[in-house]
Amino acid sequence: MNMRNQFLPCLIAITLLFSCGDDDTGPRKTIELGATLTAEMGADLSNRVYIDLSTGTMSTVSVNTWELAFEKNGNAIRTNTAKKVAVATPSETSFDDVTSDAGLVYAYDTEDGNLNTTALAGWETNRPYIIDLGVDENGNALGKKKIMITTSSTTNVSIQTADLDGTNAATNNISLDAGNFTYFSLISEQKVTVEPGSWDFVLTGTSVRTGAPCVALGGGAQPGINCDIYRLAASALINAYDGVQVAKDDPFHNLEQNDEPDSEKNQKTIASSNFEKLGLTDFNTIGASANANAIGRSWLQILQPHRNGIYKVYDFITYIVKDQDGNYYKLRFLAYKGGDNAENGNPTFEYELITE
Amino acid sequence: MLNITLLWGQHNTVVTVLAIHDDSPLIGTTLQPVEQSSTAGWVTNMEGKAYLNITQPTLIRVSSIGYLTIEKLISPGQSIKIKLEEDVLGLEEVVVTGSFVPTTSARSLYAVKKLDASIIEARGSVNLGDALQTQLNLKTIQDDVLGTRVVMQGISGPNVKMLIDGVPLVNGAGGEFDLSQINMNNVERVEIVEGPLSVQYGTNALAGTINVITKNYAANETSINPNAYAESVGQYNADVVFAKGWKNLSVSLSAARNQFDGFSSTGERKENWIPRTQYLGNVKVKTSFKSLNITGSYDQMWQDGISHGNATSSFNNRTGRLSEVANDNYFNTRRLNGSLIVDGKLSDKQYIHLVNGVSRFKQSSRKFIQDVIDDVRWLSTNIEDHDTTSFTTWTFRGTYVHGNTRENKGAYITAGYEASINTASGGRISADADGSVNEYGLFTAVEVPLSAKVKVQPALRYIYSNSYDTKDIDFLGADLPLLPSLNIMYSKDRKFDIRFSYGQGYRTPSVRELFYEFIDANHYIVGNRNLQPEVGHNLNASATWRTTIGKITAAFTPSVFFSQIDNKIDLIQILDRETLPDEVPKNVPVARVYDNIPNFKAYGINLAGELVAQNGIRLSPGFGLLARSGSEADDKFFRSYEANMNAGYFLKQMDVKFNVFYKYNGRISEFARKQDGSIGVLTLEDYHTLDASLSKTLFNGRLFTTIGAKNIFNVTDISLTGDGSKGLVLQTGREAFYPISWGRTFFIKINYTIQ
Repeated sequence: MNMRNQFLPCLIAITLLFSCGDDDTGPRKTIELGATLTAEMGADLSNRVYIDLSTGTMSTVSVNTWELAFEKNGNAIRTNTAKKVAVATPSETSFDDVTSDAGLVYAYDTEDGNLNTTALAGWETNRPYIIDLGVDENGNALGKKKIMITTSSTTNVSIQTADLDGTNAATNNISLDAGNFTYFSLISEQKVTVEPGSWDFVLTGTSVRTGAPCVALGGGAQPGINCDIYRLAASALINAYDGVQVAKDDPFHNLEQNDEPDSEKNQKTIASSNFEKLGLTDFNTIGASANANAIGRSWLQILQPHRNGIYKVYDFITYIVKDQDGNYYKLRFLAYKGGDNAENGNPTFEYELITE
Repeated sequence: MLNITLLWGQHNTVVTVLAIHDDSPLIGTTLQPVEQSSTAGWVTNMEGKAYLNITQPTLIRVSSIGYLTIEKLISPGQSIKIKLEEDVLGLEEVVVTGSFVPTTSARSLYAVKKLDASIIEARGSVNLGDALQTQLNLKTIQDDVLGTRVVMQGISGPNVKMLIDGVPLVNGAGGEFDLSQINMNNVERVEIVEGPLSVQYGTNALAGTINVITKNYAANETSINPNAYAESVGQYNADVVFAKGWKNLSVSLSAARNQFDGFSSTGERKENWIPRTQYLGNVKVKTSFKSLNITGSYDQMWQDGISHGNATSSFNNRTGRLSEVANDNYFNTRRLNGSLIVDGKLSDKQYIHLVNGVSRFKQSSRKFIQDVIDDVRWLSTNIEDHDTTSFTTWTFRGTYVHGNTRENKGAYITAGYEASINTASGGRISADADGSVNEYGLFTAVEVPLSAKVKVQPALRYIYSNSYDTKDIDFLGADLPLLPSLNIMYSKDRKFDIRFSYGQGYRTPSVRELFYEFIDANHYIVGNRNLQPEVGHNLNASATWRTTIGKITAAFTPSVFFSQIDNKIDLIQILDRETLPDEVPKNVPVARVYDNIPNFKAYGINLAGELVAQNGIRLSPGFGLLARSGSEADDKFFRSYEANMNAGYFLKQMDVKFNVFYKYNGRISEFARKQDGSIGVLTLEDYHTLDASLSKTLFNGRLFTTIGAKNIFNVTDISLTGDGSKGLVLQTGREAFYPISWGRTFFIKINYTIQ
């Protein structure tokens, strides 16, 4: 308890300045023992909040600033699932021949962050793709672009872009940054800074399919209407790329998870949490995952009726996080409502360094 | 107003007036010659006797309050007994709604339903919503935020004209009138006319008119009248009325405080019936100048209500603690009504009625974030969570009637004007709203007796509006901005009468419907500048047959109506969210816009009875069928049934009145076309309500107490079934039930009069 009170001023500072670390001069000598933090994603999930556990800092960036992220070695390309960016592969092989996405099925990055299953997995140079630029914070569609990567190396990517009707054609040469990924906006045709230098997990919206996949419907499929309807859901994605791993302790993992307010799992409280008991050995006993969605959406469940926007936070689940520096923290989510107006989209979590 | 001169003469003609049922003398009965223009007349004394000075056989009108007036030919020197029948059916009671000159129930061209003070008392009615609850053809609908709304002949709120003493009231939040904002503490009676009265009252009087008549105090009277009311749901009201009369002036002052603690049927923090406190003040001054009455009245209401939200787990960044936090909306409502009314006879054949009134509604809402565990609250930092909006209506109406109003004979010619000035302002009114929506009307009516038994009244109103083309009313298909009505009445000796009316009604799109803008995180509800006026046609026919069966006086009134409304204005759901403006979240839970629905039809059959026995038992059974259809229903009619029974028993020896009020509300469906063209139907299940009360007068009539039980069947929420998306019962987006009542309660009301 004392520990938490000690970090309250920091929390308030975070709320105001987004980052505690900004005021600090020089690197910290000691690592964070724990804190209670609120990540202000906003009710419309228009921000992503990067968290570095060992410094207790949060960096907030707007979602709608980029569509594509290029891996530093020039291999994989991620898309911005926080605003429903999606990729369709037209049958035409010439950039100029691509004029329409009619009949095409859009693909999204998988939630586990696996670079082999992104929407652009297996991309080839000099092959056109159609990018759905996703939506803004009010759900307005931002339009579509066709792209073609003309050259690619470990340091540079050349990308040709145009609207589907051929207007606004441009070619951009993107030099890849030292960071893990280089973020690019097809709208402003510029590189953007998104990731902070060091982070363990990010709270972000992510595109989640509701209903049937279009492939299952065959000829009757109408993407976005009767299948492949994507919505945005809040998720915590770990920085697997930098070696972050998570072991999850869910005392009720065998109970069915659903959106009925009266179901057994939704009646459980923080009183059943193993947070106090869990230690370093449990990280190995439970078994850790290096999937980006090792925390994912498992801590949050919307309850019926969905329009009331009432969420159950599974505060009895404890996540043991091995951060990028090899420190072990235990972490649990406490609330999804928070911030100035106690609104959804402001998840609060607490964490503690495992010192034993 | 009767000017009576006692004449003394040679021949003593003695008339003794007695009550027919017990031969008791009727003191103060007036006797007047019918065919004479003189003001001569006589009044009976303590023995019920009057000594007439007449020189030739004269037709004398004998009238006594509470008894049926008769006319009798009396010869000079005669000594006769006249027995008057009690007016148990209220035929001689004055009604004012619809008619251009105050008249009686029996003579009015309109079938005027009345709820008088004794019924209002017996029901323990606090506000107009309570009072209207067991009426046939009327439904009251509860909304946690918008209050109690009325549905008449299957047509909802904005189409019902609300008047206080003939002065139009401005509608409130939600574009409808909240009946719970009219208090019953100073009300003489409520008059209800179904069907349009658009020639008389202009816009909105399409489905019907509800006119609340406030109490008048006699000259030379001084009284203080404190009242208290308590109901077990948590309702505590108190009011006091002070009235003082001088020779030519009477003043009444009243003040009231009403407290309601709120009620939640589900036990949730979010209440279906929000807690609120009302303060009311009223001043009424009445004086006369020659034969004109001049009445000034001013009402003010202050209401504070809190719409609590359900608390859910949240991190409170003020306390830095995990807690339970809710959103609470604080509503602060002001209502102001002021009027100056001049009415009376300019001469025997000239009557004028001038109504000048203002009605203003102002509501502010503030959203607070409430931590229910640590009891910390703060104002939301989102600007769109707070609002103050006001609506104002000014009305200037004048009516001149030429006709023999004293004798109620011959033709009546009426001419009048009306101006209605409507403004709105505030956060939820579009910045583009250009000033006011004003409407000007001229109207005329001619009532002609075709024979002793039949009279007809054609009437017309010409309309001009600054906000839309009134030619859309399209009278006779000739693009004329004229509204017609026709009334025909046949009556025979108070035994049988038939009323027929045809009326065209209309409703101007209101300021709200044109310019409303309620946009926040959960709502996108907007007006529509391209709305057409609603134009309705209504046919109404009713017959009343009165008879005496042994010791029972009975009246049976079957009636039918048919109405059609073109371009009915409704709040419709925006199904294609892609049409929303960019700044509006596409997943906003409530997205609605006002629009015209090509046509709406309704018909109904009602059967009402009234049986009054001399032993003090009174029964009023009723049955109604209502069917609704329209362009949104592929001309399929949705029927609903209702039945009611009001019973009263007056135990004279003990001076105790028992009253029972019962109503059956059948299933009622609301329909709307869905995006795929099919019809979505949402049905409210049926339910029964029963209220009972007992009233007793104590201490020589100074103390009047009523105790009773409301909603004895303990009805709370009634379920909604179906896949409809909107409805009478669905405006703000409710769940699978509708709050009908707050369950069984007991009440006590005490009135004390100090003379």
